[in-house]
Amino acid sequence: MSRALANWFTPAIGMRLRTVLASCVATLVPVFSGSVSASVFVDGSLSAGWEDNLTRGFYGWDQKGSMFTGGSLSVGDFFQPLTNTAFVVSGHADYFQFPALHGFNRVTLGAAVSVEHKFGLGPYTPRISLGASADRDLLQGRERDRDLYSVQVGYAQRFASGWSFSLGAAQETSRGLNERGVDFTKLPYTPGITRPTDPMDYYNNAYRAGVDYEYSNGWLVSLSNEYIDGYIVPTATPPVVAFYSHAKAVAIDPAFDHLQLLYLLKSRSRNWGINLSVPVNQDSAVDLTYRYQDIDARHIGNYRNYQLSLSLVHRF
Amino acid sequence: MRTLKTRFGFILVASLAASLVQAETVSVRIIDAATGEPIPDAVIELSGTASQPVTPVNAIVDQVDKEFVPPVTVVPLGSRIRFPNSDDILHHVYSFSPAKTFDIPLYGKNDSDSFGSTFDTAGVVEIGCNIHDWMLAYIYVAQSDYAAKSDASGVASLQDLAPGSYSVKVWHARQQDPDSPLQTIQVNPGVDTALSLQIELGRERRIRRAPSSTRNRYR
Repeated sequence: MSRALANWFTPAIGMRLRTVLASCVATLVPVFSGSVSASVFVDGSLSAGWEDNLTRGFYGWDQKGSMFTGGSLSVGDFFQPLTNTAFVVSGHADYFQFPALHGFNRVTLGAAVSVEHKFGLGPYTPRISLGASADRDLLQGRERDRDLYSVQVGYAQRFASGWSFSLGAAQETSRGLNERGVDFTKLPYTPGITRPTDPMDYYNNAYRAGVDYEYSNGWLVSLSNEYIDGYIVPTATPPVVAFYSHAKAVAIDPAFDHLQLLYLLKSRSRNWGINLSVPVNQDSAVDLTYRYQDIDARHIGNYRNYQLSLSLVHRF
Repeated sequence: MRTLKTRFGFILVASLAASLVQAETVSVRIIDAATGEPIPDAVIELSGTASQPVTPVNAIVDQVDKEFVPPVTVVPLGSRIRFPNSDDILHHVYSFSPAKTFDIPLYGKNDSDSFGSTFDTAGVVEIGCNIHDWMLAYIYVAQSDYAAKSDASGVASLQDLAPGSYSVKVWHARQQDPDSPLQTIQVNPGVDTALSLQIELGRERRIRRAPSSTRNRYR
């Protein structure tokens, strides 16, 4: 099933969906903005945590972790032009810093649109959504700068008191912004064989499922699983011939002072997440999140990453 | 379509006391059986053998800061209730309840005066907003004027009752037992009656409003 979807959900299809969605939104938003009330919303969050394998390194000596702190602010408009259909247009800015690995310090600017339809009335009614987003990641290590485009479809339903679930699929397309040439003659690889030097150019197909349970006191526990068929960008030092022979692209990793290489490798990842969200008041919550990533880099092997974070989420 | 079935009922009677005063007033204090805390927004309704007055009223359930205000409204049969929207955004008020089914799609502040409805079937009407799923309110349509809701101290009072025998029914949105027995009281001329009832509460049925990092969608 996922294989069939993956085959169908090609970058070309994703590009077409993005174009269609952008056209729809460009047409609909001005039409409806004059005739319906919009709800402006501002969401913010502050986070701190630890990421175990920020570098996505395969070998132990390449697995570098770091504390991180950061924040996010998003502003959007919610339009309800039809009884059970809503449009959301939003923009966001994020900043995260990693004291142990400054090259990963990141600013992200992005915009998103989505349309959501409810199949009737009430909180138990199933809903579907279609969304698209475009983000620009600007890192201190500029080789990782990129534009990230995503299209998503989703289905969600509350099926019992306190219980709800969601299913979704997404395609992400990453486009590197600062491709630099690599002098392959200075690397210990087979002479005459080179690789593209744009490791941030790739796409991922992601399939997601999640279950939420809401306690009577408002505490919310969320479990999620995500399967990603696409690529991973690990860093490695010293140069690894096994990586090089299977890499779709190679670049010098700018996050380190010494020679370290970025490889673009085909991979499949399974991500597991658990989130506990404790409301502080009706518009704020403190979230404790653990995410585990099991990465299967094709022809290389399995390795892992995890992230633990504490966030304050607020709706202004 | 989901059947909005309110789970109600009450568990047990704690005490009955009477004292001599000038008017016939019944005061019922509703207490959480688990914690001993007073329960606001519980409803008591008295039904007796004698005929009881039914005086329809006009009431308002407003929408303020994405909440229904008040969360519980008690009216006698035949009353008319309006649902103004005091927010600067659209709301979509609906009810699936057998006692009153209605749907008022997408209206804003300037449209709100025209949206109202007459409630001519006794029972509990649960209303929600289809945009903001956490918005939830209850309208208790009583058979007569002899119904009231409890205040912050858990006390619901009815005044100027005709003397006679009455059964007391208690309702709360989170009440556990829907088939609980009624408590019977005797109202005598010139005598106030004070009653204390304990009920068991189930889980909160309101959907959480607070955002989370996994639910960052606007609602």
